Amino acid sequence: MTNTFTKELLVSALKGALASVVARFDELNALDAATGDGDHGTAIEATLKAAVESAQQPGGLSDALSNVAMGIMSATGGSTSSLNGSFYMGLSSGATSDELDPAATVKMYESGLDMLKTMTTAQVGDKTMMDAMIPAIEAMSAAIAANPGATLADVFNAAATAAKEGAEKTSEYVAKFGRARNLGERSRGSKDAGATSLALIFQAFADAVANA
Amino acid sequence: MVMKKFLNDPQRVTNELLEGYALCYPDKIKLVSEKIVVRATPKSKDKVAIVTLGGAGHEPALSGFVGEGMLDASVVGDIFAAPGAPKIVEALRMFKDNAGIILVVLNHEGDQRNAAMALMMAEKEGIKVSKIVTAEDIAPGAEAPRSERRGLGGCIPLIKILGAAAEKGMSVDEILAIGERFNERMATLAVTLKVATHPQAGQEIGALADDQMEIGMGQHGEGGGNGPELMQSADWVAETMCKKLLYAIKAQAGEKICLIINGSGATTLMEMFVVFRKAYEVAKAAGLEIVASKCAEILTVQEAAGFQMFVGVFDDETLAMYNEPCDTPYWVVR
Repeated sequence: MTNTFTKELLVSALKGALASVVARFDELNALDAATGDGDHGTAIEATLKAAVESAQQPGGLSDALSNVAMGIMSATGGSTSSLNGSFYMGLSSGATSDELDPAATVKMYESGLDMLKTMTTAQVGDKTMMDAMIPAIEAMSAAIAANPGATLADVFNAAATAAKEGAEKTSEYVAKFGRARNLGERSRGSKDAGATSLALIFQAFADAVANA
Repeated sequence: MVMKKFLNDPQRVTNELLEGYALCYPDKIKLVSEKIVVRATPKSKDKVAIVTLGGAGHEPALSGFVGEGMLDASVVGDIFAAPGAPKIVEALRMFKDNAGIILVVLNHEGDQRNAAMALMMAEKEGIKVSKIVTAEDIAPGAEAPRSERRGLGGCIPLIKILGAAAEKGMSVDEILAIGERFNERMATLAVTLKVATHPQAGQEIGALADDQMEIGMGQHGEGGGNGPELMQSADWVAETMCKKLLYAIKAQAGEKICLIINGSGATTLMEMFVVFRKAYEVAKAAGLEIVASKCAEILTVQEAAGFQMFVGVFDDETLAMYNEPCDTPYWVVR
């Protein structure tokens, strides 16, 4: 259990996220095929592979996050490329030192969300990755606001739980963005693949904090 | 059902198809930096460069139209996925000393977002780029806002016009003005009988029963329009679609139009001609003069069966540009 967000934690969390996504590869592709083009498992695996590799390049935490952003955008395409790229750019500019306490970690994630919001106007209920992302980061902020002594584990557990709940709810929503939007009412009933994979990633970060 | 395609490593399919394409047409195009297709002989720097981006898997689009009189570069993403922003910027950088750059972007989430990120990054480097967005799919309804319409195969005739204007030495503003006039008066509608299989994921995209078709399905098997309906005759489909298209572009009797039937991959030329015959008859009956036409595979969707019907209204200048010479692997005018 660690209480400090470092480059080492980032690398081990991203490795865990990659393993978790690879284990659910077919499920993620199948979820995407229901409303999109069936490649989300493929896309998110490529994204996390690039992220793991880029995070290990020389430099501090902020450099590592910026390298992850450029690495993801260079290695991947599609709509997830610039979304994930902008999120990690935001994390990079929010990483004020190489060792972040829980409060500074939450601030870094808020910076990531701010940057992401410059690339998409999707809100909760639009059946996108934002259905997991927004509640997860709001839960992090709420955890610190409710208890300034909250641990890094408290913060990431709150994020993972909120992301999972947010992803589950997407099956009730009608898609408003992406290719699934064209299905209208017919997009109801299946979970959004992007929100589902993001929930797995937040869980991997929570696990990495617990195991560090 | 198990996917049945001629593939090696599915994850390398985009690289391999581009390698093969470049080897096949070495006098016209070449491949640089793995995913950027450029002309074998670049145009002179005093002319505006026309660049586009988009996912692979739609061959010959978009890279099939790189060459004299059309595109200067096509930035290719993976299957059905837009290229990442750094690759787009790399292509834009090649034309930073040209008289200008016009980036043609089809209205799809990934294409738009990665183009936006690329334009932001290019601006930081001092590279000025103008953008033209195609959104001519009328599946969401003739009155739907452009933001809700997809860019389908209509980008190709538009690129023909932009490319010819650029070749004439026109300025960015002049080219955009001509292009937007055609862009505003073009419309596409797709119909699908049998969905495609994603060559990497191995999954069928979308679903249609044996006796169903879907008018309005997009070029990745994603839905649109009113959903699946029972199969109808070629004449019924051609008439229904052509009437919707003519209504959408507000075609007036006496106007000159372009009519294209673009096969999705598994529909025969035989069927395309049968469909064209009826669409031509409908347009003619509406008092329109069909001055340009094509039945061909321009922008495909793997082994999907179906077609896109395209109608565009010309004015004298856009028609002249359409008829200018061009020399690309998949569109030649002499």
